[in-house]
Amino acid sequence: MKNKSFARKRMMFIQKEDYNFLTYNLIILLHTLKCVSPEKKFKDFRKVAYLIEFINSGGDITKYSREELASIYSKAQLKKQLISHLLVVLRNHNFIDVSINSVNKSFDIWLNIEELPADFFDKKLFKKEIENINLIKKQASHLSVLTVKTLVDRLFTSNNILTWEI
Amino acid sequence: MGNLIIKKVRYYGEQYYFESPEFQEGVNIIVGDNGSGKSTFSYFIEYGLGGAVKPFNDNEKREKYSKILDDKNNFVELDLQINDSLFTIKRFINQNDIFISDGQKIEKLPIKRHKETAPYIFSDWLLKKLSIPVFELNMGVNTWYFNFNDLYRLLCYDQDTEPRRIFKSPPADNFIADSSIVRKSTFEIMLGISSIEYYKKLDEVKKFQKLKEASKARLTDFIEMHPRISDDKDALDKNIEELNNQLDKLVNERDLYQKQNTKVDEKTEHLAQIQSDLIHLDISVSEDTVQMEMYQSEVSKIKRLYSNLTEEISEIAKTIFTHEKLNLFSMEVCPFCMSKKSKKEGFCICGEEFDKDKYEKFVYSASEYTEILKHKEKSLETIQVALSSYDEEIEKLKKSIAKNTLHSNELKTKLRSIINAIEYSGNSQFVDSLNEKIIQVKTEILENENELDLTKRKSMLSSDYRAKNEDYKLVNKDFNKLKFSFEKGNLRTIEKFNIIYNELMQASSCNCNSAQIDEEYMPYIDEGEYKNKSADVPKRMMYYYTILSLALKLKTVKHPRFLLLDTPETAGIDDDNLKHDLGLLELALQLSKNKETDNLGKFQILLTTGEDKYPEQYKEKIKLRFSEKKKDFILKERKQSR
Repeated sequence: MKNKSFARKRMMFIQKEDYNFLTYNLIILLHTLKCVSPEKKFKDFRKVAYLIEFINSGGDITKYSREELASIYSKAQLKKQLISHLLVVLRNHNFIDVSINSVNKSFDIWLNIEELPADFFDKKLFKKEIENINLIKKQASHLSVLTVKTLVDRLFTSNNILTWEI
Repeated sequence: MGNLIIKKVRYYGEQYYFESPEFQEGVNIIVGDNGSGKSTFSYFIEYGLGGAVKPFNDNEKREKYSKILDDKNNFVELDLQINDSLFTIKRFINQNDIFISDGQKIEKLPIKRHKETAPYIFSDWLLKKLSIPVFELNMGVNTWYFNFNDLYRLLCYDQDTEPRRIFKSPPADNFIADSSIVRKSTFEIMLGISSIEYYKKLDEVKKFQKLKEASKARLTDFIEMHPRISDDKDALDKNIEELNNQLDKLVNERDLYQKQNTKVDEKTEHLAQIQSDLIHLDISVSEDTVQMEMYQSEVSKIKRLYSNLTEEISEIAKTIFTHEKLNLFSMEVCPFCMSKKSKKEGFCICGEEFDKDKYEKFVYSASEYTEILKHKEKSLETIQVALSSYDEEIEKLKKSIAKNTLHSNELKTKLRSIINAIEYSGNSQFVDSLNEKIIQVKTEILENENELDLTKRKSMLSSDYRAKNEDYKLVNKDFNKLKFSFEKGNLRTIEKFNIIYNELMQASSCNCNSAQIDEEYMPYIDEGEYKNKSADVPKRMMYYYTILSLALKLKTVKHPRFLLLDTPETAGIDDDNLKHDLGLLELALQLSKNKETDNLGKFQILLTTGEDKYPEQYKEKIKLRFSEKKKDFILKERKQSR
């Protein structure tokens, strides 16, 4: 296993862009926000790209510096594509359902919780992520139904970060 | 010897005039009854000779001689013969200048002396002509110059003076002019028994006495002010020398002590050493601190890295979990279309060959994830090693800083204690005490020097006094010698005076047994027995006769051999007695001869008397007659006469 190609693969490993990494964050987010049915869908999946970092590193926006926030914002743009691919994969596995959001020209998503292994929601393992999601909720209420613009305003623009995308 | 003869008396005014006939040597009689102008005649002479005649003074309140004072451009003119020289002297009424003419030139001389404006006066001129020395007498603060007017008091027998006073009243009634010393001096000068040397010497004696007394006063004052000044100059000198030696010693001691105290320098060196050590320590402490802070900041960075890595590891664990649970990606199934594919090495699921230079999105297997995890965990270990090594370094630095700080504090304490020790053992107290002693000795020297000065001053004063006293004694001795010879000479003259006076008095109407003059040169008749008031006239008249007689007898007598007798009709003397006493002039003249055959000397007597109040034998000598009854007054009105 310790051959050259693996070394290259290992070095190319980017933690924050790994599909599995993104997957568990997304699932935990939807689960915590109780987006588990078409009625309780998470509107506009693009919001997830902005939230991933906070879910991992801490839900309190005030603890981030302007540079950190700016970096999170720009990296989130890249994540959008990854997540859109991931949505296809997860939809294929039937772990989530997707509906078209014509207003925002995007997708709304929700969990097919019965398709997921029960032990996935081990509270101990994802305790930190859940806590962070709850913290974010406090700062951006109605997280699941917000528009991307409102979320970006609340997380970045209100903190003097230059944003360029709606 | 001098000789004064009045040849003519003139008065000219715009209203009145008078011109006497020419008077001769010897006796000249002027006859007139009361109020006809006899006294006016004698006033003219006195005024002309520079005397102060009260009735002729405009400022006089009483006894104004109106006829004269109301006249204008009036003057008195006398023709004088002094020692065979002729002079005309002229004095305007109420003027204090006299014009002297010797027939060739006219000289104007003031009557009153003034130190600056009129140092030479008429009296000086006249006395010089008469060979009478002018001298000054110092009486207290006043200086009195002998004046012809003083002499005139024994040349003029007037009616205004009480006869018993002998001397004609002085023109100014002040205590000097009529003092006994002035009278005595006048008498002595008149009789030539005084010499200029005598008076000069007397003055000198007085001057030296004054100097001596002033010097003595200064010495006494000084002694009073400094009663405790010793005379022992040598002892003081010795004292000062000793003190100076002591001072030198003390100063040397102090300098030596200060030089010897190089210990202080050593201490200073030591101090400098400590200070430099201290500085080095402080520098290393600060360097260590900087280094430590740098390490600490690095440590905090690494710690962050560590925590990030830890986080990543936990995330990978979760990723692995997700992978295992969901198995979303495998190289056998396409995640998008979900159709199975056979895995081919070096190709993607989509069938494309991997291009090393292109972006690859890898899909990792569980074992690969685990490998990555392991790798990360290993990195974590490395970081931990680094961290602990940093900790070690920091710990070392901390220890070093603590050590150095401690050492620095120790040095500081030491420094402080050394400085304190220097302050304490600097022994400035010893130097201070030396300085105090030096000041004390200096003060003593100053005191001694002051005392020495005072002593010198005292000895100066006392030697001055001694010198002055010596001078005084010397002068006084000379004076006493002079006085002795002077008195001896006097005695002979006075004896002769007494012989003549005694004889004249015995022959006079006074009816006395013995007459002489006392120490004050005043008549002393019959051992002081009371005499009739009328006896005063012969007493005075004989006194004047005696002087004249003596003047003719002795060449040394300065009397100018001139007498003006204004007959005393008012003194209550009988006419017969008066005639008799006037006639005694002949006896006086006889007595002036040393031998029977001697010729009479040159003299002049002007005698004014009443009608028939003169000795028979002088009838021929009448030169001038005034008569009130016949309206023949001395002053003639010009209009009438011309």
